[in-house]
Amino acid sequence: MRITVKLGLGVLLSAMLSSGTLRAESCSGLGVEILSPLSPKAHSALCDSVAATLIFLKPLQLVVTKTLYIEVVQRPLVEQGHAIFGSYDAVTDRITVMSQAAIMEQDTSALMYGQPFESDHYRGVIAHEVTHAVVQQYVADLNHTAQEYLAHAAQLAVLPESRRRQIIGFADVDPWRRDDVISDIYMAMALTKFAVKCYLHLTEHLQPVQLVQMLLASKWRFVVVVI
Amino acid sequence: MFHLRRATPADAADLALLIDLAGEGLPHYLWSLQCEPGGEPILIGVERAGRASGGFSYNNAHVVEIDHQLAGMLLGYRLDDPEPLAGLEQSPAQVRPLLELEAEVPGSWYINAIATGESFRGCGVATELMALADQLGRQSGATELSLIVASDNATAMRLYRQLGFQPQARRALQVWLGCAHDGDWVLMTKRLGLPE
Repeated sequence: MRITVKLGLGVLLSAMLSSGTLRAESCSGLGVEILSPLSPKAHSALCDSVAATLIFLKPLQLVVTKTLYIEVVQRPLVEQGHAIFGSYDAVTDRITVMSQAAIMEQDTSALMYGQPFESDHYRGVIAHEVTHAVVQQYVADLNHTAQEYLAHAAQLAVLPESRRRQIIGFADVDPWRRDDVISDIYMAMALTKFAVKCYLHLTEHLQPVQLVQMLLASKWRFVVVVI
Repeated sequence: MFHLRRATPADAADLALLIDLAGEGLPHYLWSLQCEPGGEPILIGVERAGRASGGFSYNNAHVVEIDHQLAGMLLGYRLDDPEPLAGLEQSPAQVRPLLELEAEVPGSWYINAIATGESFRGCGVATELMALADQLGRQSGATELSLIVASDNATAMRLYRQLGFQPQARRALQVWLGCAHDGDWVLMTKRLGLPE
């Protein structure tokens, strides 16, 4: 069945590639396969975003151990009734992201971390989902809060410095502190603040690898900051 | 913003007020017994909450802040295994039934107090704190949660039942000055499962 599906996709891609305008190919040297035909510009931007994410994750000892598959779609994505820009499906082991154009067409007033959605933020969307996929290669059942901690930290990390500074300034929060309880409800009520607290906590931490290991070992809904 | 964290000594005054709120005035009454004439019982509570050890210590408390205001508190810890009952007769009569009930659930993670500030009721504070109690209990290695509630506090009893708690034992409530309850103290417990 799996082979049949792959063949079907291959035939479809071949037909689309024959148009000569779009390409579906890997990101060279990154261990990433892009399953959708993209323009050279979009392909380059996507691979650059993936590369920036992997560069951020590598010192944290989070590296790609098997090929990542990314599908870029032109349709809206919905999860549990909510519009989303991207997702990672652990069952199919596939990242699905809307194209930047599709996001802009769907909602011209789309926001990310309180800012109008632009190409910088699209880079962050890719980083967010790639991080989920990489983390999944280490721990299959990591709790939601710890996953989102790492994904949002990476999402901010790949933004241009000036953009990141704007978001950090807007959030006006401190990093997570020892004995804080990181919760999904905080994230639900204050997403930008949550993301900034995670980014600052991780990037300012004196033992970031140990911190990541603590997160990866987290099996509970609440993550109690112990280091 | 809904910020959960472990309490610190700086929270002692708020903790004392919330502990008294959760205990429906019994803590205030007990503190008054230890207070110098003319003194403020709540200051005894603040001193107790500010200690690094003891049942009322900040070290056993977690708090919720909403927009930088303390909105609620959970005070809990694992009971000794077995829970010692020595010196029971020296305890105030109002406390004895509580100590006897605690002794029935050695090794459980005991929710000593849970409270939401009046202006934060209906914000989900208690629900989150109960979920945290569930996690802290399991992380401690306990196999059950326990708490004690007045039998005529129907609202609380209903909430705890909805959360999976079942009555296990009861003792006659000994009224104190200003007590709003009658009837029994009811020990309720809940089995803890595996991580979510």
